[in-house]
Amino acid sequence: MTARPFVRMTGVTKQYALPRQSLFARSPEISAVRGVDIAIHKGRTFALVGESGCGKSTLAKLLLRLEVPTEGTVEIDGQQLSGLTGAADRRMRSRVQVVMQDPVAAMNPRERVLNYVSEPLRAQRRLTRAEKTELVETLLRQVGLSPETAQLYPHEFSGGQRQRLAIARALSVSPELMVLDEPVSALDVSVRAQILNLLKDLQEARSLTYAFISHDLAIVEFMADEVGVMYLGKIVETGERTQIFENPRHPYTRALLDLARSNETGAVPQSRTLAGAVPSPVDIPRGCGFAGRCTFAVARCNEEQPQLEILDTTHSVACHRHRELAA
Amino acid sequence: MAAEPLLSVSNLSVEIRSRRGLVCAVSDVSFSVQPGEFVGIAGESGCGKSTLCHAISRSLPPAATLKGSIRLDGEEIATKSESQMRGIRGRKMSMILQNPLTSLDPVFKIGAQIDEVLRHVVGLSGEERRRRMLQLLEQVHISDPERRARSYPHQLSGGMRQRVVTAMASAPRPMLLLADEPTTALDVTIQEQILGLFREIRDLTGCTFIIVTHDLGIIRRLCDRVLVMYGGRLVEESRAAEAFAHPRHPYTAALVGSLPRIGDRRRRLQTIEGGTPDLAKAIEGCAFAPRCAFAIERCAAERPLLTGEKGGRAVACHLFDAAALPVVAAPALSQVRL
Repeated sequence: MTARPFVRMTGVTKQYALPRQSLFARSPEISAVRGVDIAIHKGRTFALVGESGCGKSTLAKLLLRLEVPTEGTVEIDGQQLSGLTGAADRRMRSRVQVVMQDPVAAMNPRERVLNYVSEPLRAQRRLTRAEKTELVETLLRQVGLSPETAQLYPHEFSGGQRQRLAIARALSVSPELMVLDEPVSALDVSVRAQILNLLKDLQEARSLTYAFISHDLAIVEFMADEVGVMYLGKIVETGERTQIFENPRHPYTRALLDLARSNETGAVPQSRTLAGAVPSPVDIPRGCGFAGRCTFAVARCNEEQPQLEILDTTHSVACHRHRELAA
Repeated sequence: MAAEPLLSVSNLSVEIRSRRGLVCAVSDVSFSVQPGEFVGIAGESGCGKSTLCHAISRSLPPAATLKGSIRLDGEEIATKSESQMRGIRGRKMSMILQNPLTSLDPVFKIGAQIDEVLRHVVGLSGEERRRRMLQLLEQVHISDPERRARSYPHQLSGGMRQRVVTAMASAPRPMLLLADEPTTALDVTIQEQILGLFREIRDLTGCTFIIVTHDLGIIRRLCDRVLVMYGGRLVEESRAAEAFAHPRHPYTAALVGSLPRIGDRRRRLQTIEGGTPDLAKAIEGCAFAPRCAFAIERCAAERPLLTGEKGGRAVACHLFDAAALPVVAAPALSQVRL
């Protein structure tokens, strides 16, 4: 792990302006992501976990360069994304691709699979008809669909098959990094397993790097090499899979794990049910973002923001009390 | 379990007229629910679980025809007219839907919407209604009920809306609450809050719950018993813990096997090949047979009936039909889980 990471985010912050409340007021800002550092190594899967509004999808957009960070830098393979223009920019676009939760939203109902799947590559360069057909048929086979489906329209596919199409499309430009934003959340259990297996196989075959976003810890444990737990725009704990799952240190990570375990054991979660909800990102608490819901919060938690503290070369946690709580 | 069941459904079928012809969304379903139980109905999309739920509340679309019997608290409701149902819905049973916004009117404050239930369904007078409305909001753990009562639905978070809907549904103290995917759109920590709320309501009012969901984890956490549906039919009925630990029907076993689990070191998840059956076509034999790793010749030809075993379990599978395959079936199936 001493090699340069393939993806490096340093001090990334993203703020959005909200509509002004009155003509003369300053427009309020929300901080979707607040000072995030992430390193993803080539061929590995980094999973981001968190509840809605924690900033995980904003991070995905920053990786895809659909958004520009307000502060901080995003580097892929040593190249800083914000500095890219022209041909370098276009090349980078083909090295990073995305699969989203609902692929139908990105499909044109009147466009055949043949065009849908080859579109990213056609944006890069001209393809002859024969090249296009061959490419699409190869990709369809790789994602477990029959090559004859190239002539069909999106509505002729089931949810799982559409997700396979979205994966084929992303693969068309032979990307190195795939951003997978809740790729199986909308799928039925048995289909979900098929897609997760497929993603693992593809990663192995093509040595892909994954940024995997999910709210489901059991899925994260199955997929990830490294995990980042997000809360209110910050990474509150990050580490290798075994560190997070076998030795969770942040009270939020522990609560999430308790909930995920209770899905299997049926036991009412040990850590008291998390009361309340995530605070609004418009009005971020001064201290720890989680303090309001944390069973272990003390006065200091409301006053002072905990910084990520390194426990081990790969495991870090942002909590004032993690030492006492571990004991 | 000797008590009179609160709900007993027998030979219930629902056919829906569609452009593709007659769809048998629910076929010949029978089960009963004891007072105070949490019963889960599980299955994947298109298995008929939501249709079954709407059939019980008699809120099926006009294109649907209902056959069979639904007895609630000793009273046959499958044949009741819409106006007769109005006296039962809300009073004897209520429904909680996945999207609380379908149950809330966007132009009225939530206090007024709860008030409406209390006036028309419960029939309380003015002063009492206000007291009860605030009490209900407090019961579902909405902080500062006075202020929240003056909010519109869009001003509340998803979890809070689901609480308000739960308050409305439980206000008349119904005997039966039907919840269709009540936590699906919510974050995991909020889900647990809603499940906790359901448990509290049961403890407080003795209400019985039927939870329809595709999320087996929710069933495991909340339910006493589970009914697993496939292709519009019940394929397994058992205690929730048993269904997870020792699933009997190959479909239940495959579903449980396809779930990633915490602490599980598998490299690959078990999958179920193929797709769900087309309910517009007549299915001979077992609907799951084409996808089943254990299917025998008989499965394609003859439909297995839901047959009970000891311990309140029932399975619709020829492999468990004592006459067909007495010993071999059970050990073979236990391997399926990995």
